[in-house]
Amino acid sequence: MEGKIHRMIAQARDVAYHYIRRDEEGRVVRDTAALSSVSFDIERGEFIAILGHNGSGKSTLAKHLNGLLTPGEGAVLIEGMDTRDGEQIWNIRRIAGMVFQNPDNQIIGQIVEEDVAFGPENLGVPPQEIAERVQEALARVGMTEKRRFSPNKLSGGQKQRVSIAGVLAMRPKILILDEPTAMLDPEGRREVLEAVHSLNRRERITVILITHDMEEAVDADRIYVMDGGRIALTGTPREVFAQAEQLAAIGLTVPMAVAVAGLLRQEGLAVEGTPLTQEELVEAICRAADKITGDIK
Amino acid sequence: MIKDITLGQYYPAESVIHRLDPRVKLVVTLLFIISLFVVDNIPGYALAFLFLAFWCGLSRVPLRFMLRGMRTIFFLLLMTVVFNLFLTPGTPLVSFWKLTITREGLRIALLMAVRLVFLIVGSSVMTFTTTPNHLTDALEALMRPLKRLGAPVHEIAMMMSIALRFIPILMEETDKIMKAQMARGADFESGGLIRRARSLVPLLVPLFISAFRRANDLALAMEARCYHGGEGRTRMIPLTYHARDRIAYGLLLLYLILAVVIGRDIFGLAAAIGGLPV
Repeated sequence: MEGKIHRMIAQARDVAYHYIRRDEEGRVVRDTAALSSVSFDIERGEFIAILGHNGSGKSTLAKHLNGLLTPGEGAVLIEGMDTRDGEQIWNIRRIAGMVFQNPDNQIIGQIVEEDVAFGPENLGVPPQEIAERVQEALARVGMTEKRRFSPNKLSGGQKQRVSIAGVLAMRPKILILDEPTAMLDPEGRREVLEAVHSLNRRERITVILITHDMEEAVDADRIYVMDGGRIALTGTPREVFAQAEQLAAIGLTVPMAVAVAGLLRQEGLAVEGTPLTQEELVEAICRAADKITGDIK
Repeated sequence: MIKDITLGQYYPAESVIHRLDPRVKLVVTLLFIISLFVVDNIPGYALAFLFLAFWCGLSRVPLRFMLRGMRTIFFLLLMTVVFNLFLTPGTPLVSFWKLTITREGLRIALLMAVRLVFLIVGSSVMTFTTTPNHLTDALEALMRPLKRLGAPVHEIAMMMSIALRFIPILMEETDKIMKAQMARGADFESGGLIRRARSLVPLLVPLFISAFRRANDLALAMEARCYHGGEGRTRMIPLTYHARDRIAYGLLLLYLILAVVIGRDIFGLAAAIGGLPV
């Protein structure tokens, strides 16, 4: 048991959560189940993508991972700490840092540096160490040059990298990103994803990326697909995207390469496997073509 | 374009006043303003002028920037002078038509004008040399004693700095909403003042909704970054007094003593000499 807790950095056990709306007299007007019987185990250093369309419960799930919401039923454990434990809540939020969708609505400081300092300031870190942490965090996302800028003068991708730095300055072990690229242009999207992947690869920070963009999920170690508050599919990207029909049934598409391979198969070209990227697709097509020319010979 | 507006009127420069602790600047400004209402003779104002000239000179903010602030209070200044000049009873000096300028009126009008000008220039030195952030920090530090009385000092300071952060964002948003409504035929430019004011109402509703949404997001983001009020919070750059700040406090004290002694003519020197007007 002990060993398991140490290996698993985040766990959910049969989590259920309802959004309940009441009228003035406290009667329940509407009861929407946002999550029902969600369970998972996330290992240290993994890159997890949580996929789902709007209203699938993926953002609600994200908010459970750092105690912004606590489960109605079941439990969420971060490094073995229960998110319902009021004593541990600030520890949990320090360990599981969260980046939100809208960069403007999560930057508090009027200067980049000041904003990155906000987290450590709240933790009561001594001034000298805050300055060191801020410097280090900005360097890790490549924003050192802009440290004296007003956030209003940065591009969307840069603002989102500042937000990530703000979380990194708290020295988290898990980075939860709730649709961090949804409001960015392609350039900003690339910047942010590159920063996140490098943090995961080089520093083994556990990443939980919530997204509705299939292409972003391709590089993950594992994917959870959410639908109607439940985990509908789970597995490696290759396993998940191989199930194109199931994905289509819950209103999700597959990455471009997977889709093209599927269409080619329909047309009779025997493209094997589930190519996830353009390169893999090219290879698979070449192999299929070689086979045909080989057969003819 | 609208992004580039700078808030307040911070004038970046390297000067002693810029480097002073914001608390010192706030205290100096406050007490200087009070001193203007304590002194009531010409030597007193001469002293205040010297102090102000010293204060402005050290700040290295060009004089024209300082005087720009005058434009906003020009009418107030004019009214004060006119009313005091003609409506103060006393020994008539000049009189034409139904209006009389009295000796006392002239004196009060001049003093009020000088007070107002000094007040504006004196406080603009602070806003020119201090970033809004430093100001809120100073305010929080100086109001800390009020915390014992239950005043939410930290929260007020936090609200001020968040407001400052979001003003440009909400301005930009206003701009967007305006353009969106203009694209659908809304007219913000024609008509009288009242009509134009009324056309702004449909602008306010979406703006408020969006502001609330942003506030909600920001609250979540702050909580996610472990914000739990001012308790146990540290600062990256805490306010600390340096030698220059102590010297500034010393000079301020000296000025205040002199202002009371001279400006109120405590020892009756002016009267003793007899020549100086009181």
